[in-house]
Amino acid sequence: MASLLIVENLTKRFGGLTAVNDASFQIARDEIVGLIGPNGSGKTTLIRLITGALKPDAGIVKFRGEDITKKPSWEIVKKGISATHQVVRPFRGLPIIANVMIGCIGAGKAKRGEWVKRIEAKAQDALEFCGIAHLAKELASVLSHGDLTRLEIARALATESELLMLDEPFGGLNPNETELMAKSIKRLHKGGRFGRLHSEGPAMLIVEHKLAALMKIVDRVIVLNYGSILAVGPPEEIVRDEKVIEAYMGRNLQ
Amino acid sequence: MQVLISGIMIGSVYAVLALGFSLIWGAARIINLAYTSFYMLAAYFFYVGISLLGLNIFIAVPLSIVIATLIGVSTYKFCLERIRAHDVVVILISIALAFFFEECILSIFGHQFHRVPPFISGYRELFGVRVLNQYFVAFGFSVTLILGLWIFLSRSRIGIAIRATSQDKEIVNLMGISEKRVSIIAMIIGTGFVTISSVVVAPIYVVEPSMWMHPIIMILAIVVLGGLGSLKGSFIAAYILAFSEVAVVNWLPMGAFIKSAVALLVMIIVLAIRPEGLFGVVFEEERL
Amino acid sequence: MSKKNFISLVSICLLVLGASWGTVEARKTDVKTIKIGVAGPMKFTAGENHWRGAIMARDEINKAGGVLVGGVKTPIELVKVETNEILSVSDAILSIERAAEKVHFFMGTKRSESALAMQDVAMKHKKIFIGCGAAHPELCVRVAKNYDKFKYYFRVVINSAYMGKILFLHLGDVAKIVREQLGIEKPKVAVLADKLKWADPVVKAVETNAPKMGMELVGVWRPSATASDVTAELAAIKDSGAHIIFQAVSGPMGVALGKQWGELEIPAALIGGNAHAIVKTFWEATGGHGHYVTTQTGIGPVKLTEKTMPFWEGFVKRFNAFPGYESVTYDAVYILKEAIERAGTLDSNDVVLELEKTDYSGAFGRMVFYPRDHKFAHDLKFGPGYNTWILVQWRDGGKLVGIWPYGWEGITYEGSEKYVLPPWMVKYWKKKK
Ligand SMILES: Nc1ncnc2c1ncn2[C@@H]1O[C@H](COP(=O)(O)OP(=O)(O)OP(=O)(O)O)[C@@H](O)[C@H]1O
Ligand SMILES: [Mg+2]
Repeated sequence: MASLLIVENLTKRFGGLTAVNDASFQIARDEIVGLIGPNGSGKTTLIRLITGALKPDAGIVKFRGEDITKKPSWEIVKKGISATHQVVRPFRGLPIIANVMIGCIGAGKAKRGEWVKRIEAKAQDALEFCGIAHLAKELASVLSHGDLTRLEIARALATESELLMLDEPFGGLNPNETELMAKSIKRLHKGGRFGRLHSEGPAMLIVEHKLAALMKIVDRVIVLNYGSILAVGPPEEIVRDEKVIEAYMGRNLQ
Repeated sequence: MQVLISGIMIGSVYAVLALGFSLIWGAARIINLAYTSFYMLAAYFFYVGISLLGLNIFIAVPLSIVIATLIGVSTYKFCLERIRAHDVVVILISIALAFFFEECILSIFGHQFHRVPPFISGYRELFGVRVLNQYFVAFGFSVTLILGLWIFLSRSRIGIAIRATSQDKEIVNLMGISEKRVSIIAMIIGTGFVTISSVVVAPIYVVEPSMWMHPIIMILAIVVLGGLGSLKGSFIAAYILAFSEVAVVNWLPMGAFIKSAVALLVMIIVLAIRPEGLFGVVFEEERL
Repeated sequence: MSKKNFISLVSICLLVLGASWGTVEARKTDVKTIKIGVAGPMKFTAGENHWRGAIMARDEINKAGGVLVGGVKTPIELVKVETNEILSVSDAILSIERAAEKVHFFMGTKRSESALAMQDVAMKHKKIFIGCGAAHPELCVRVAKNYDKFKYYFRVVINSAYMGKILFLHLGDVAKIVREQLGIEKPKVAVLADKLKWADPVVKAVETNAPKMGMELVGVWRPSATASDVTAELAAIKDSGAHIIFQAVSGPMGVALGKQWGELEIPAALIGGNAHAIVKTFWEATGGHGHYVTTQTGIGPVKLTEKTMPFWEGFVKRFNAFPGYESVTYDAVYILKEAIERAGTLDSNDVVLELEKTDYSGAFGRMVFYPRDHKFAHDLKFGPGYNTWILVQWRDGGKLVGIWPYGWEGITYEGSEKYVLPPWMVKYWKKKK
């Protein structure tokens, strides 16, 4: 099966620091991929390069065979890539439901002339999926950190994208909640209909430090270290990989 | 009673002007001091259409609104958009633009005073207070625009996108909405507000080349008082300032010349107590 | 061509142009002309009037050969000096400072705040300055107080104290009409003056005199001179029950005032002075609502002297505008011409002495200056038999008619008519009874 996303020789420098160094990998349409690496290894930067929030110094990003490297980020989203942000940035002054509606609107999936009511219903379903539907009318500024993470995911979900990239989706969640969230993610990936929100089960790229929870849901793991790809493989192999263990300074990855 | 009626009438006009300005600030993040130049231009186009070209009022009015708005939006697109990250430069350039437009008008029309006809002439008594019919027209238009804006922002897709854009441009882009396009739309609406109120109030006032100055000062006072970027704040502040102006005229006639100054004073007092304005967002929170 | 070359080429061109312009200027001074700087806010009606009055006089004089100086007929050359004084005092100062080297004499000015500053500059350069606009008494009080320094200043408009005096003489007339026609014993007066220095003495005069004249003062409103909406003020005035609105307005607010007053049919006679109400376009700009507004001016379609109507008609024909009082530059040029001819020189000190002897019958009436020991030294002498100024009222179809003096001290200029109250006002107060 042809890869959905192809990243070739992607490099990004911040001054003297090479945050992403010549990274190449692919993600298939039916995959759920973990992206791990020590703090500062370039994971967030890599996601931002793919969404177009940052422009690379070298390398290309292809989505469904099309070179999207130079496209503005809003066009990239319309093509079917969305991401959540590690540092959550909701529209604090807007109600939570409106935050999510922006995702529906932006994806361009909402047909022209589609009633706001319908968009609102979709947004409501996305919130329900993430477990914060009861807060729909509140302003985003009242949410706790965990709920903000959920809002981020709901918002990305609302774009009904084909490739969903989650930057630390378990951030701010306790172990129980993490468990639940992991399950939801898996369910989302498998696809299906969530209320009025039709999901074909997006391909996923998930960045996490909570490796235990992550390893249970991913098909494949990419390990970044100092911006370079250190290892790629199924989770069982990765946790035993010498280089990876060394990069994590001997932490037991299992 | 007189204070009440005049206050509401004048306040509504101010509210429309300030809402348009806030909308532009919110979405495009520019303090456009040339904003009321389009107010002046619309009034002049109205004058040209009706008095010089002899057009029907139903043609002259929409035409002048459209042309002035187009000029306003093109000014933004070609002069201000590129530099909008540099606040101070935007302010300087937009002041320069405002004077440029004034000079243009001066060199074409001179320092003459002109008049445009009211949509409905004469006056009416409301609770014993004489109010020009045109003021009712202006009031009607203003209320319609304000309600329309409110529904638009809360119920329409573009409206929601505009609100989101005024909070976080980058994220809006990352949600698949072209923030540039949204800014342009906000710009069209905001400029439309100022040009529409121009053609409805111009028949009350006199059309002259410096007519842009008073409104821009009032607008700045209103948006600062209401909290820059807060539409609700602008709306309420517009009435506060209008009422304080009218109150001065009625209860302190000797001070009628300071009516604007008193309005500004009210602004300063409020700001001393609440630096972020009545409904302003505290900066750090907004930036987070 | 490289960019650098291009720039240096352009700069050379500019240098050459600049130098040649300089020599042209230099040559010009060799050609003997009497240079008069007409200093005014040229983008405003006042400045336009200054200029238009002056060029009418210049054309007439030059056509007849010019001014006889020491046996030589010398033509007059006018230099337009943009003072921008309405908007900026510092611009006004600079404009005189710059022009002082280039001209022999100055005339003009409009706004008193700027005129005082411009006067200082002209006196420093010992240039004769004939005031043709700004009316604050201080301008001539200074001459009386410090003659040696300020003797180069003369004024051909009456000062605002006299303007005020005329205005409340007329106020008395109108009060009488209100009493007789409407049966109101103690008419109420509201003052509406713009917040500029010149209006202060006028306001004060009405404040002190209205009660003495059997009227009740109900309030003084002083909106900004550039206000565009005075409906709130007008509503407040109507609320106050005023029968008469005494206006002292020089700013653009005057147009809005006339328009909104007529449109709202405020039941109070709008009298006093409104600088914009002597502009021909006032009628158009108020959409005809300026009907019945009166104002004060130095000239109108009445026979002040034999010269008045020919000038008035010539002006209207040439410029399609009414001559405002600032076009008194027309008389000022003639007065200067005669003084120069008597002195036989352009020397300021000599011309001052001759100007002091002026007794000229001009288009704007008789022109005599107060002597140097008078408290208003070098100011235009006011009074019956001298200069009186006039009041005019707008009538049907945009006609301007003289309505004062109308029998004052036995004077009624040919062409004057009696003042009439606005009909809606008469109706309102009759109904109210
Ligand atoms: N905008 C920026 N300007 C300069 N340096 C940056 C910028 N963004 C990231 N960096 C640097 O690039 C490196 C990679 O950062 P990045 O945020 O991608 O790491 P990360 O793997 O997401 O880390 P974490 O696990 O802590 O989230 C870091 O050293 C960071 O300081
Ligand atoms: Mg990160």
